[in-house]
Amino acid sequence: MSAHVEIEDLSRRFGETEALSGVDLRVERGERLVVLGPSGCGKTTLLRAVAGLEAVDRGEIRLRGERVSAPGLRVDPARRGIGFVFQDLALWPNMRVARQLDFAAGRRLASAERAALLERFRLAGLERRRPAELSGGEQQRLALARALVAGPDLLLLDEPLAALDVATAEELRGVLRAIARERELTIIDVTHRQEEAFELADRIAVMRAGRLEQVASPEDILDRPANAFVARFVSRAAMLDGTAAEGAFRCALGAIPIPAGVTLPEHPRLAVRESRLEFRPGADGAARARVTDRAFLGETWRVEVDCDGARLRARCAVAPEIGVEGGLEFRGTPWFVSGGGEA
Amino acid sequence: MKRARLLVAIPAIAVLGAVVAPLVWAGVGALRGDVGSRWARLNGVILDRMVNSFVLGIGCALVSTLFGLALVWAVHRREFFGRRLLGAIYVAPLLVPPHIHTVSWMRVFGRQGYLSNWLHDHWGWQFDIRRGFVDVGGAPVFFPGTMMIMVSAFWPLAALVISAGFRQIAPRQEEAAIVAVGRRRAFRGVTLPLLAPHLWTAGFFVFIFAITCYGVPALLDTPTIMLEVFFTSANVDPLAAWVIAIPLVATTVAALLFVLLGGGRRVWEGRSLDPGRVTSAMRPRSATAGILAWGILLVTAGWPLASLLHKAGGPETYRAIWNNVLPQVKASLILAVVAGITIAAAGLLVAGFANALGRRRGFLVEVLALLPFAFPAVVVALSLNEMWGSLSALRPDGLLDRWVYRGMGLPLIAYLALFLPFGVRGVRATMTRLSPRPEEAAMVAGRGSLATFTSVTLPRLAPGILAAFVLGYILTLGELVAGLMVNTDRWQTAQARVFNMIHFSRDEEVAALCVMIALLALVPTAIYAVAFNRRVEVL
Repeated sequence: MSAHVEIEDLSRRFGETEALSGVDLRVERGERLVVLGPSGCGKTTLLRAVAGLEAVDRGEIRLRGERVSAPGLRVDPARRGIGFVFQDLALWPNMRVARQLDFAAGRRLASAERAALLERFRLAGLERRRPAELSGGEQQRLALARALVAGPDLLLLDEPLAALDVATAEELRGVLRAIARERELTIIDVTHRQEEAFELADRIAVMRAGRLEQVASPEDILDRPANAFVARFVSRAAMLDGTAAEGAFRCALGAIPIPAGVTLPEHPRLAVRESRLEFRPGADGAARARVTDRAFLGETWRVEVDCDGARLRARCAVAPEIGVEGGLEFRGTPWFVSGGGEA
Repeated sequence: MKRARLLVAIPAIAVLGAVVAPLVWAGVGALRGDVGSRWARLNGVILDRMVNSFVLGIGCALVSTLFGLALVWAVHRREFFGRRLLGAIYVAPLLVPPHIHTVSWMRVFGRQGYLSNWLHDHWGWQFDIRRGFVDVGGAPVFFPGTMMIMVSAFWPLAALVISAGFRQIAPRQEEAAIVAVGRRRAFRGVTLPLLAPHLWTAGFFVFIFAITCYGVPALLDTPTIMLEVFFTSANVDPLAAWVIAIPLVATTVAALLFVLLGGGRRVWEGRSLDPGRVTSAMRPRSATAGILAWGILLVTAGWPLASLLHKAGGPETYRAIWNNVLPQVKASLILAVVAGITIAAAGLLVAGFANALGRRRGFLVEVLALLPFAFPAVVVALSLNEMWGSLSALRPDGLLDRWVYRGMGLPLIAYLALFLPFGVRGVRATMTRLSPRPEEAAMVAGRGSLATFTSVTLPRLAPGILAAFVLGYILTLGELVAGLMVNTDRWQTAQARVFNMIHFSRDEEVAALCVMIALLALVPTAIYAVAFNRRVEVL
């Protein structure tokens, strides 16, 4: 059985810029895939190509097994059975809420149907309002309702939550998850925000400069990044150089045991996330470090430390003074990435 | 700061005064003296003429808006051969003044035109472009030939306004509709409603131009109100002409107020936000759209120019008239350059003054600057003659008499009054699109108002100021009525000469002079388009 979305060797150029370069991707039915990457990496172009809003120079896109995009072929967006939520929402300023839904549905909704939809997206009572008269959260919910009103089985989200405050964004992610479960909806969401990716995704695809760097589950992306870029971008991990000998990796953090079965890449580097490092002021540890900066995260402290010349981020249970020395401990399973050819 | 404001305010108020005062002067004058006989002229005949003008204006506005929409839609939302070139040159018909459009169309559809003769020879049809239809009370009220020629001259105005509308629509809003319901319904449900204020404004603009046009109806003997006003002004009493122009002025002022205060306000105020990029997916390839768009331009601009070139014949015609028309061509060129500079400078002053006053009061200033736009050129010219004639009579052969009333001053003030709106818009449109942050940064850095203006503001406004100059130059070069009414012999314009030559039936020479004027209009436009990679935009 074919996947819901299949992308093969997809490339797209804008003048001298290669926005997409040989992208291969499969998204299964009902899966929630989040495409994560820095600004300008090509993730929006990828999404727009899936929607048929962008032509492709090479490769092809298949939806439900049917070829919809290839060089010289572009099935009309309206015939792809998709819902699309734009980054700036693109609500139609000339239409009231009810009319936006009717228009997107391509018919006049029955009152009961419309009422249910408005209720579902907490827009009841706002039918007569225009987009400019809605709050940011209401506009987001309307954009989502509009994208889903025609009953698509594939929802494409282009960073629609980027401009929202934390609480509203969290609420909307909850709505999205619930709807995805109810309707067995396939979702492709592009974002540059890690927390959104982890909260929503079954799988995450990390992009850089038009290429996919890694496609994996959130746990794998976090714990087993494919390379230094993924580790740095997703979890702001530090890369520590060292040497492997006698079953241990010797670096600024001391000798880190290499787990059984782990094969080290060429020029191995230890990927160190801040949540894996614990700093204890005044105490001893595997390594000594000095605090250079600190920030309160709510329940714990994040500290920046200097450890034998390496600048690392670590967690600390108490408020450390700037300049204080203490012990640094690495916790959890170590993960090594190749240091060769890193940009 | 205060002194800087005064430096802008005083000349700006002087400009507004120079433009508005003559209209008030003549209006008040019309209410004094032989008031009874003047008002008696406002009779049934005038109202009949008004109906003809109204029908002409409405028809012209509808068809021009349709043409403008079709062409601009093709340029903005379809891909075809030469799309970019077409987008840059579609204003070309504006380079040919309406009365010259008339001359060229008469060569095809006039009583002795190519096609009229052919129709008569082959089908026995007696075709005449001047003919009127739909009799009401024994007189025709619909003149399709006149309307068609006006459409061919004025539709680019509609296209300019609609094009501004397309540039303001966020492409993502259309894409959202395309994804949901497909292209056709997206166009009907989203694009058209979002364009509605621009469509209305375009229609009203063309309506004002058509209803106040003198050259086309004069050459085709179409009984419009403008002909009555001109005739009365020239042969009876200028102030009586002011009175019979009242229904016309009331209509055009109402149309202008709709544009400024009604639905068109959104258009007029413009938007500073970048709505986003139009992607290739939004521009599917369409040969039909290309044929339609190029067809509109070639028929309305290509045809008149080709017909004039053909009629003028070889270089010998140009050589033959060169010495005869040189004084008028020189006068036109000097007037157009000086008027272009004056209009751009006055536009900058008034726009700067309006900006300094804030949103609401600034808008009122702009309304005041645009008001003469609603007055037909005949009324503006006769008002100027009345006021400056009276003032110069106070001291015959004084400065006012020599430099203004009998010199270059009066035609310049006339062109300023007629075309200041374009100067103000050219600059204001650029002003509203610019972020004020660079100016604020210069102020914070301790630069004074003058240094900030000359080093930061002026360079950023340069495209708008140049657009105002080019528009002022082109419009002055093509202007007919003020040239006929206020210019002294020393400053007789080439257009006035063309108009006189038409009546002596020297077709080749008329055509050659028209080609020369079109070339004079084309050169700065082409330089501007190439140097700034853009069209002359007023919105």
